[in-house]
Formats: sequence, structure tokens, C-alpha cells
Amino acid sequence: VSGDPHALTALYALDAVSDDERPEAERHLAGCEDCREEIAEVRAALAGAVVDVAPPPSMRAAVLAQLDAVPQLPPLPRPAAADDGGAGQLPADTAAQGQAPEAPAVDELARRRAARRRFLPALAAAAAAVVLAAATGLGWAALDYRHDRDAAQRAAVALGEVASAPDAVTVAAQSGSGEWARTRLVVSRSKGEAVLIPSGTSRAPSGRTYQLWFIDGASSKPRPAGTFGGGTGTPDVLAGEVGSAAAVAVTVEPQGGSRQPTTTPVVTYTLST
Amino acid sequence: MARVAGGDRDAFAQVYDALAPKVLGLTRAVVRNHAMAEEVTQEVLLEVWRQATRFDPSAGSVATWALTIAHRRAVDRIRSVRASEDREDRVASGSATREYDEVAEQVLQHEDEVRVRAALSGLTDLQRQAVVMAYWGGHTSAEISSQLGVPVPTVKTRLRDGLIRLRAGLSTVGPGEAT
Repeated sequence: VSGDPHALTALYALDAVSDDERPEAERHLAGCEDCREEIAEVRAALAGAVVDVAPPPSMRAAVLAQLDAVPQLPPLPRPAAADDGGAGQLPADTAAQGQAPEAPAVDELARRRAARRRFLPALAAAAAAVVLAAATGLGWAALDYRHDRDAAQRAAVALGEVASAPDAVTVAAQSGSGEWARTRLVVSRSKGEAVLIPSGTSRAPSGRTYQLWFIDGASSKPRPAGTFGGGTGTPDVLAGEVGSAAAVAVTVEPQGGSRQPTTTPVVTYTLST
Repeated sequence: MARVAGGDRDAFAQVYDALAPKVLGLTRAVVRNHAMAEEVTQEVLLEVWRQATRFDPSAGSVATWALTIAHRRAVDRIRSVRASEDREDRVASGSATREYDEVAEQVLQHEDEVRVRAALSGLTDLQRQAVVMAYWGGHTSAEISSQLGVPVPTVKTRLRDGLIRLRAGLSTVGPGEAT
């Protein structure tokens, strides 16, 4: 026993417990309503000391765009005997950190970010942001679609390579309706590669496929850049060289793809030259 | 929040607007790196969305709940940053001293310091120092002990007594926040 369990409560309220102390603190809290109350009050008081900092507007869009990729947890069953503890703020907190079966999703995300961070200093800041944003989508996608995990990992590697190029840029959907409006394309002309980040768009209709196109200009034919079924959130590396493409488009085509677009693009991305 | 728990994105956008500045304020004060704080803030807001179904209004306000998640994550982040800095320091120069000349309020930026002093005004200097190092510095009692050169039990006592005073102060001025 490492001393007064209530003392551990103070540490817990401040998130100052070490990893060794945490389980003991949580065991104690589960059975001590006074301590749970203390923690709630202390946290409310500390929350009052926070100085607001306005986040950049882009963060709002980024967070809202990721909602589709983040499934909400099922509600906890209401505890039958509320007086034996367990209810309240504490489970929400601990659920975030390891008790709920879904929790590893976020831990995995944090790990991926930590792993990437080690080589981030070498990257341009913009490229770093792209990698992190993409890793977010991938983290969820890989969990939601385990059978696609290998594909997701290959895509992650490819995306990382493209995004780490000094000239990598992220292009927002230029024209694109509904769910396609929030998709992005990461392009590096020096590497000649482009990666589509589909951000939770739904699957292509039955018997159809999405097809990617490089568009070099009004006078030349669109170059096919691969097909994908969609619905996985997994980034898709475009086939072929970016070259001097002025835009990238996505159309819905019959299964197997077409030689040239047969429908109006669901989304286009304009590439800077 | 009930609408957010039901998957209502518009409701979440409103919750975002209310919470994001607070979450970023807290995470920035703890991790002290704006880009990193923005990353953590995004993670936290997505956690609020993910866990909205489990928010219990009887246990406190949405803001306190979100800031609890935010603080834990910010502390996790700063600890992992320190761990990797320590590794690099050992490999590179051996100068692992960069954290250890920071004491108490020095971990805070000025605007934060004013607010924190007000919130912790009922504490003794030593208690406040320990609480600030723990909550805003993300340090464990063992780390605070080695930085201040006082035994771990002393640090724990200061933290415990500090929080007792913090609660006592609350009961005289009333609850400090709305739900």
C-alpha cells in the first residue's frame, strides 16, 4: 500500500498519477463516493481557470469533416444500483482511456501520431499536417474495415511518401456535392504522385465503380488513373504520373472502368501549376 | 448534448463552438506548443462526439467533462514528448536539464497565470506551486519531488491539502460554473 488512498485521489484529480499509481487510484475511486465528489469539484474549479484561446477556423471544418469517420459509442447501460458507485463523470473519463473496448481506437491514433512525430521535424509543416490528418482518417478506417487493413497500411505508406515531398500540397474538392465536398487530394508534382483521401464517402452504386482521371487540359483526353469501390475511407493512390495535369476528377463508371469518362464528375480538384 | 448523443451534427457544431476555445486554452497551457495543442484539441473534440452518448449531466457540466478529457490527453502528450526528448538528450548531448529549471508559475504563460492565481488564491504558495506543476506542468509527484528537492510524501501532502483548500474556497463562493 502506497500510503493514504485519499492522497492518490488528489493526484488523480490533477492527472498527476503515474501509470503505476493509476490502477490503485481507480480501484479506490470506484468504491469511494466522497472521492468522486471531490474530483468532480476540483475539476470544475480548475476548469474555471482556463483562458479561452480561439482556434483557427480551419480546425472547425477539419473536426466536423471527421465526424463520419468517428462512430459514436453505444450508450452505457444505466447502472441498476447507482449508490454503489461507478456512475458519473469517472466512467466517462476512464472509458476514454482504456476500459471501453472501443478505446484502443484513439490510443492507436495517438500511437500512430507519436510514431510519425519522430520523423516529422524533417518534413515541411504543411506536409506534416497532411500526414496527421490522413493518419486520423486511416486510424478509424483501419479499425472499421479490418479486412482492408493491409490495403489501408499500404495506402498510409504511400500517402506518407507523397505528403512528405517538399512540394506536397493538399487540394480541397473544387466542385463536388454532398459527401464529396469534404474529400481532399494530396499531390506532389516532384514525385509525380497523387493520393485521394475519400473521408468517409459511401460505396459506389452496385455494379459501378469510381474512376479517377488526370485532366491535362481542355484539348486532351482525360487519362484514366485507376478505379476504386469506395466506402472504406482508405486513401487511394492514383495510377500513373501526375505530369502536367491541371485537374483530377472522379466519375462513376461501369464496373471495370471506362476508357474515358461517361458521366459528370462527382468531384474535381484543380491542381496549381 | 442529448442531440449530439443522437448523432446530430448541427448540435455538435454548436457544442464545438462552445468548447473548442476552452479545450485549446487548456491544452495549450499544458503542452505549450500551439500546433501540438491544436492536434490534441481536435482529438478531444472528436472524443466528445464519440463519447457524447456516455455523458452524464448529473455528474457535472459539459465543459468540465470535456476539459477532463482534454487535460488527460494533454498530459499524456506532454509526457510522451518529454520521454522522447529525454531519449534524444541521452543520445545527443546528455544535457537533460531543459525541464528542470522550470518551477511552478514559470510553466504558465502570463494570461494563464493571472487566472490560475485567482482560482488558486486560497492556497499557500507551496500548495499552489505543487498544484500548478502537477496540473499545468503535467508532472507526477515523483517529478515534482525531484524538481523541488522535497520528498514525494511532502509533495503529495501539498497537493492534497491544496485541493482541500480549493474545495473549501468553492463552498464559500458557490459553484464556479454553470451547467
